Amino acid sequence: MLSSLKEKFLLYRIRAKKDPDAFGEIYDIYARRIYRFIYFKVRSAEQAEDLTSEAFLKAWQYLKEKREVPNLQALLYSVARSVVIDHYRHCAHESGNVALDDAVAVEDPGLVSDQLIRDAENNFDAARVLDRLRGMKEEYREVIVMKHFDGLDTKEIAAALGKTPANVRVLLHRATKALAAALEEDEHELQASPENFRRNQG
Amino acid sequence: MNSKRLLKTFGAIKDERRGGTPHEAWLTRSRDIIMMQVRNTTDSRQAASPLTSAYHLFDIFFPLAAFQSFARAAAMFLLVVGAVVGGGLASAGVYKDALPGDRLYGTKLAVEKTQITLAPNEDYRTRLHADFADRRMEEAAALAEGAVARYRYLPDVLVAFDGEVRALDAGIDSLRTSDRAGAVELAKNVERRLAGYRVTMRKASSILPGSYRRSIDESRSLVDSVSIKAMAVIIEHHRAGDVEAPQTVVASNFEEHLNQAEAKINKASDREQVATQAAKAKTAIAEAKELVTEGKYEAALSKMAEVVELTKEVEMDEDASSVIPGSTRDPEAAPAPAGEGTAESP
Repeated sequence: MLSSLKEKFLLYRIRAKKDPDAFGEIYDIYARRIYRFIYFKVRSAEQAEDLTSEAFLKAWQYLKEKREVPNLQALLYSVARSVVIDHYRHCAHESGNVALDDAVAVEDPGLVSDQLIRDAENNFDAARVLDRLRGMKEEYREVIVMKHFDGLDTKEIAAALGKTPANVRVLLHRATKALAAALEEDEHELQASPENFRRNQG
Repeated sequence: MNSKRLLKTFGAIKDERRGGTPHEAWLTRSRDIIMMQVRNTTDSRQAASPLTSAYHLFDIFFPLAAFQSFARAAAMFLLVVGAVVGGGLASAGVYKDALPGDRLYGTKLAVEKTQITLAPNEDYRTRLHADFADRRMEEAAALAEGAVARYRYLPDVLVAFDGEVRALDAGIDSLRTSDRAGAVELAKNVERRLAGYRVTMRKASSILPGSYRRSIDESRSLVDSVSIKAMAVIIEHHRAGDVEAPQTVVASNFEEHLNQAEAKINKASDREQVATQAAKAKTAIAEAKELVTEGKYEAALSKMAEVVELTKEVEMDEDASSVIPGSTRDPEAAPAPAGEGTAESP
């Protein structure tokens, strides 16, 4: 997590000194996190890459226009979210039938299904978790990814998502519970009828 | 899957590509492309002037919200220091007792405005409005009992008083939705204060010439309507079983209002012009009392609103019929509002 003071200093370098390297530092710090944030909202890694680049360029435009930035991290997540929304709007416009909720589709369902059959138990768990994670409510998915994948603490997540820490704690609790319940359901289904389960997952 | 296994799975996949970790090669490539575009859109020769740099430095490290918080704290500090150290104005109560026309009256209003602005929450702000309503009423009473030359300040004081009463009214509305317990407490508090204001205004009204009495009548109408609203809140809470609004409080509030009205009506003269309305008012009072006894508070409140109107009409009729042409009570012969000598009121 970028310290608040360093963040402010980088902003100062961009605004007053017009120093592009300051933006490079911001990219180095946040690129992985923003990529992951977008990755879990789109269909493929390639889309996530394109949209991450687009998000950073938009963030640069925003910073260049000298608009007020109370929290850089929150700005980057907000720009990333709007880039994904624009992407799905564009898709819907192109195909005429893709809803925004389709952001939760699996990257390659066939591949995941194959892994279910082939891989060892850990890998099987991972695939199921990822599958279920992608199918979760957006706000649940966001807090789980930020907490357990990016390692952010509650305060940092709250600042990034524009929520209160208490709100984030509640969301995290509910999200983890919902994910665990969904996985439990899978396990029951798997025990009852392994063939059906694989077919459904496929 | 239990949470321990879930967390273990998170830990295992977070560094994998499918867990959302990007390719290092893509990161580098993307960085190069982005930085190229960033450099292409930046003219570093157009670096900001020292003044603009200072502005950015201030704006980024000390944004407006932080500045406002700081200014608020500083203003509060200065206010406290000013009040305590600055000649002991506050502690000596010099400006607190200032009346319209006094040199320090402007300071008094400025301090009140500052207090309202710096109020930390709605509840505190409403309490301030209640205190300031008291002050305006005290000022109005002092002006009515003071020199005739100062009567001219009365309309403005009453307008300010109305403003404070309206703020109390808004405070009740706001608390009704946000803090039900706070709403009944405020309603009771407001109701007590309004009863006091009614007595003061009646007294002032009996002293003042007709032109100023009209200003007082307007304030009394407002006080009556807010009072009925406060009563409605108390009844609402009583019906909901709130221990803060027991039957004794509801009944005593009604009793106080109706007894006051009854006393006024009983004092009314037997002149024909007044007697008809007084009889109607007496009937309404009796009906209201009966409804209170039966516990029909909502109907009693509606009847009480009728009593208030009728009492007001009786008082107006009484005033009109008791005017002696040419006297200072005659609105037509009232002294001109501004700069008219220093004679004391009767």
